[in-house]
Amino acid sequence: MKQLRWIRASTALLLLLTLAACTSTNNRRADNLKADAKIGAGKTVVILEADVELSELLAGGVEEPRVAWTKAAEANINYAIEQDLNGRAVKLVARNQALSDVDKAQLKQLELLTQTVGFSIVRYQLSPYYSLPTKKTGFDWGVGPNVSLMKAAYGADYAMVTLVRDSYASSGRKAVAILGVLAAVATGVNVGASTGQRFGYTLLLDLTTGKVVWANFMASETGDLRNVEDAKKVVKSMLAGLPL
Amino acid sequence: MKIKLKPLIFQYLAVAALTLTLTSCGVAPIIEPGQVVKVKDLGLSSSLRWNQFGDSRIRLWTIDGSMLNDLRIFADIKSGEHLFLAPKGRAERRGEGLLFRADMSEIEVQELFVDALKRYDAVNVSASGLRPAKLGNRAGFRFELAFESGSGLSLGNRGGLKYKAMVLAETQGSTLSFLYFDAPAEFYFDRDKAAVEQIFTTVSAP
Amino acid sequence: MRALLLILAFLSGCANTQVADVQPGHRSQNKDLDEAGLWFAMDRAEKTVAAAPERITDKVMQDYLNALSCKLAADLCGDIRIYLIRQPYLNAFMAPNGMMVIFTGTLARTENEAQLAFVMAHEIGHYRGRHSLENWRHLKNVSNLMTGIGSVTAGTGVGLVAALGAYANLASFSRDQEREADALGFQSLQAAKLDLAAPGELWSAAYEEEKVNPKGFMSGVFASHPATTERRDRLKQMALSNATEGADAGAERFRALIKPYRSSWLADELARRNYAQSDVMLARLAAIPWDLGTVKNFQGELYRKRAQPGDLARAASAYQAALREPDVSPATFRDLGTTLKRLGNNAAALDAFREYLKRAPNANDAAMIRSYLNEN
Repeated sequence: MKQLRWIRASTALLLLLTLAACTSTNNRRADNLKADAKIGAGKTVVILEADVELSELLAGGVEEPRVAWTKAAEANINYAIEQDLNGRAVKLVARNQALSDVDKAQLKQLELLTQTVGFSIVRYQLSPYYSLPTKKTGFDWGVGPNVSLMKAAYGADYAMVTLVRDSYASSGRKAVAILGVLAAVATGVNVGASTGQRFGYTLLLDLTTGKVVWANFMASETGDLRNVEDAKKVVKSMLAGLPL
Repeated sequence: MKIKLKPLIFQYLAVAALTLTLTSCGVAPIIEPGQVVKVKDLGLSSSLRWNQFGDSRIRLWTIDGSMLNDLRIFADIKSGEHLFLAPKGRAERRGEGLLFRADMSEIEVQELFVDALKRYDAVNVSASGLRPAKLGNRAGFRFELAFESGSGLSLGNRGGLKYKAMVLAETQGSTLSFLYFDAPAEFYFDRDKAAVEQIFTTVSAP
Repeated sequence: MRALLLILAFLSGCANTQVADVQPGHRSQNKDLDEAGLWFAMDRAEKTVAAAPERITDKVMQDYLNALSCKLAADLCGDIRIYLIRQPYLNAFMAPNGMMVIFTGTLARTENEAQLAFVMAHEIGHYRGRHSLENWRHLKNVSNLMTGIGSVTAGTGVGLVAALGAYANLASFSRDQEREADALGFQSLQAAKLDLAAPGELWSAAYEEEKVNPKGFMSGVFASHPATTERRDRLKQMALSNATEGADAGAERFRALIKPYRSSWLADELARRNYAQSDVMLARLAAIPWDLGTVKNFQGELYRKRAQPGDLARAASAYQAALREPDVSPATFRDLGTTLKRLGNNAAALDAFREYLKRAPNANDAAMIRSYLNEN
């Protein structure tokens, strides 16, 4: 049932409406967090996933996966996130895992659930068009008490999950590319690398309570992630409102 | 995946239209705790607060979005209609595919659900616990399902998230009505299971 | 998997894009920019495939496939990795980075090791000839809206179907490429001393299934490797002109391998609810004197589900035939009971249900079956 197509179209609409702005972000924090509260002092954070992808839309409509670009962008984004976090009270730690096989299976379920929660936040709350009526106010998302397994696995107080999709297109290709991503998203198969647009989401998960303390959705057209300075700006908008 | 643009764009537009229809057919967008909702002659209420989409015959209720909790209410599916009242594909138009038929036994309705989940890219689907149960005043049946989200169409993850589902159905009077609820097995299913169980046991159906 | 079939417009290439055969250990060598991009994307896709819930990870099965692939690939053995994916279609494909994906529908249809080996050797042939890279270079020469590798990049890490579907874009091989892969496949079979009649047999069977597929409906025999009479006849001819002494079909070891999976794969096949094709497929399997209890049971399942005029009676006969075979599954009794009940033969239905419960008292649906018995 998860894949019934008529529900998937909502994500397409979501993207349609985010494409209007030059750069737009929409972030929320958990209900019990004051607007400018900082909760990072004396805490550690691990980057659970920075999932980045860059491609180039060629003249004929063909996209070429760019190894060097993606690696550069990934490196720039990771570097920019590290730099940003190093300027805050929280300490960035590397992920470590030495778990039995049984635990690994449940950890995988928790990680998949975290990603699903992230997408649900984007689609059902942060989306400017298609948020659920009950989600207009409040922000209460979590992965449940088994988060303790994640805490043991990562050895950190918080986990950050990041996803970015981006591509570079000649101007004549943009309209077609946008239609393409909408079409692709309608089938739920492709998440937007072909627009000449960038979008991403970031969330911060409290590994003690299992709650998402903050999430942000970003869409933008400006800047080039292959460039360190631009990546810094993009990361700044990705981390808007981060309570660390 | 890159797909032929023309046919897909029509498909997308059709799908979008369907979504808008589904969301705006005169049903209350929010169901408050205790509020009674009628779907044809089924009457339901819940102790939780839900978002509601749908029309006179189909309702989708969700708290956090259908990837995390998904309660569906289908009333009076007729013999020869698609199990989920989806647009008939080529298979259904040939009388095959995911059509409900009034002469299906309970086992065969359960099997239809399993095949439908497989068709919509659920993986490692299994059914269990098929047993008689009441849907309101009607003699019906219950069963559980387990599956994993498939890699192919998982928007929220890379596939492999385990889900659990529970179904209450009846085929009295040659039509099928059912309540279906699914949620990830990790945390979400158990969180709302008791509340959904209560909906199942308190649904009214003459 | 549906997305896989929304395949690209046919590519009509123009520029000469022939590339030299791949060398062993190609991964470690310098690659042109576009090939590097392709490998990069497919490496990412492979991570998704490796972790996919659709993947069969059983060690016995994996070891068997690895060993067979290695034997067929010869010098390329170390460059190829096999992934068995649970999908009810006869298909396999090879990504440009050496990842080979085989669908369980293939093993449900191949009768012996030689037939499976040909499918694998054919794919290895595509790898050896670097046909995907040729196609990719084609693609870039052709102005074709929304075709191409974008899906590969976007698909990587997003979903198995996206990754595989993206690959399907590259898998529309030309007829020359298909011939080359068939020829290379044949050579591998010969070198492995496997029965050369296998390819023709398999493609004959595929063609018979394809013939009955209703127009526009997803075929069990995948579109990227069309099952044509031309191919069937060519493969048969190749067998005749290349007869090998002492060739083995490997039927017994293949059957031992797939026996534990057969019921779930045939259930997956019938879950497609494309009865015309399943009917042809099961009829062919029923002609092979092995595991007929399973095959005839599923013939019964097909008729019961299809439920066209006369089908319920056919189903009852098929179940009863299955019950006369040595290996009987308790579920056959239950499904016979369901069928007899629908035919109005209540007494016999109850007998069948009783027998089911006797053999499987803790079955998943025992409570429901007991309620049938209690009603009466």
